[in-house]
Amino acid sequence: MPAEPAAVTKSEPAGWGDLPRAVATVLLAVYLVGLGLTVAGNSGSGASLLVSVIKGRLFSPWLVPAWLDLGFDHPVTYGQQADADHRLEVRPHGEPVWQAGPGGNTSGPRAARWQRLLRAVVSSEQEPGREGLLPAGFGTAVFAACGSEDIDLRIMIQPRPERQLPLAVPDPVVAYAARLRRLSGGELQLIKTEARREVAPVASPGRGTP
Amino acid sequence: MSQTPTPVAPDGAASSLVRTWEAFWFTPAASQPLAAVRFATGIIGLLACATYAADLTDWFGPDGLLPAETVAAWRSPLAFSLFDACASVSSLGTAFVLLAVLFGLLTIGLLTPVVTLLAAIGWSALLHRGPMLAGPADDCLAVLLWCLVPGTAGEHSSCDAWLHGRLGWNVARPRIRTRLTIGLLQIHAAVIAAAAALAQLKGDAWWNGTALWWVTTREAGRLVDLTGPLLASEYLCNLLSQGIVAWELFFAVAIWFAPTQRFVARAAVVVWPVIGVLVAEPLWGLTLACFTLPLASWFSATAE
Repeated sequence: MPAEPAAVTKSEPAGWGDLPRAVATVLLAVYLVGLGLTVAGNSGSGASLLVSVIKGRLFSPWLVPAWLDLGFDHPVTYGQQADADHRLEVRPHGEPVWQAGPGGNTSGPRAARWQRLLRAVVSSEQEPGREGLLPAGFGTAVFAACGSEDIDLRIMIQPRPERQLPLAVPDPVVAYAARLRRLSGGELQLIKTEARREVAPVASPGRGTP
Repeated sequence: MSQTPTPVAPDGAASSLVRTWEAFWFTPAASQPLAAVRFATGIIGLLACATYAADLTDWFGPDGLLPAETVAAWRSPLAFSLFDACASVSSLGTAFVLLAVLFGLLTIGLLTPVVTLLAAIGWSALLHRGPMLAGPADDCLAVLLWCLVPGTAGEHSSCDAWLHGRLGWNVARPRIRTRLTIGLLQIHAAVIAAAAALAQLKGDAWWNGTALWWVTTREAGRLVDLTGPLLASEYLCNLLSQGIVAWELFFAVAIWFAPTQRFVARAAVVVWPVIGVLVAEPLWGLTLACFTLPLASWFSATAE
């Protein structure tokens, strides 16, 4: 009968020495400062220049790749149109009927990811450098869905009913609309459709003004 | 000439702070609680992967909605993703399956130290491939994985523990590394709860108690339809909405005090998932519950 292997116990000191503790203390202190700055610097309310510069130069280079440059700024909802349900609709350019775009028949956490994508498209129109970036990227996928290389796409928002008037479900509104087509050279062209706005009547001398 | 007063020994606030810091970070801790965290993290990771699986090609495939160059222009220039290199459907699928396998290995606790690190890297890479798809649960899962990296989550209830037993190694013992992980989990749990409460208090909907109405009338992503009960009782709507904020604030504070810590941590294991379901972020709720598992002291009877 073979002998039972002797229990091997790796020798480990009860605690760390001064040097490992000092190193760990420094690392922890640096990380905790970085954590505080990422929370302060990733707020939806914006960040001060001081916080942005310190975080951006000292902490972001190693926190961003690890997906740790986070603000945890998660309000769930503010009850505003921006966090209502979004849906993507597409059609070959000029055709009257809109069809549901990708992600239309999803539910649960999967649907939540599609919602984030569509919200990002809408919100990025207000972010310099990101305008039109995502819809232009949709190109190949949406062309295939429509069977055309000249399409219209729009993102509709379904406003939610007020609790006091739950039966009055508001009509959906267009949050973003654009025409997307592939030019003869293979380049994609995105033409954003601006919503019509009411304008003040032009005052002319003949009509007189009070 | 008056006599110079003797300098007071530094036994005041500074020394108390040092003692508290030492006790918090450098008291060896048993690793049984981390086994539960490891198991729950692996399961949550698999669930999170499942929310990507069906649409992976639609988003990240060669003809997907989010081409790598578009995402590279969108995200921070400091970010990069290993998934950017997956130019074909097969390579994308392989990389994704590997990530899911890592979460599977984490769940069963095989090669835990390496697997935890690789899962953290892989999950961060997936999030960077489509940052506009990431939600609060994804953020918290990334933090959870990185917090587990220095710890010893595979010493109990794991394949590693079984293998160690077969080899006759007795490696499980209270360690400072375990304490570091538990401390990081505690700090992040409090920060996440406080940040969520502060974010909510910037909006009228949370002050006037209608926030949950706005959440539940959002059909996409919701798990339960509460419009009926919330319509029937405004008090219920107010109670649930403001109860969520109150819980977050209470949790962020009470988790730090010995008399309340165990109670709050145990309650959190139930309350966070319930909140997650109410606000249509179930994985977020589960992940936050996971942060508090080591503080619930369910495992302390066998810990030492």
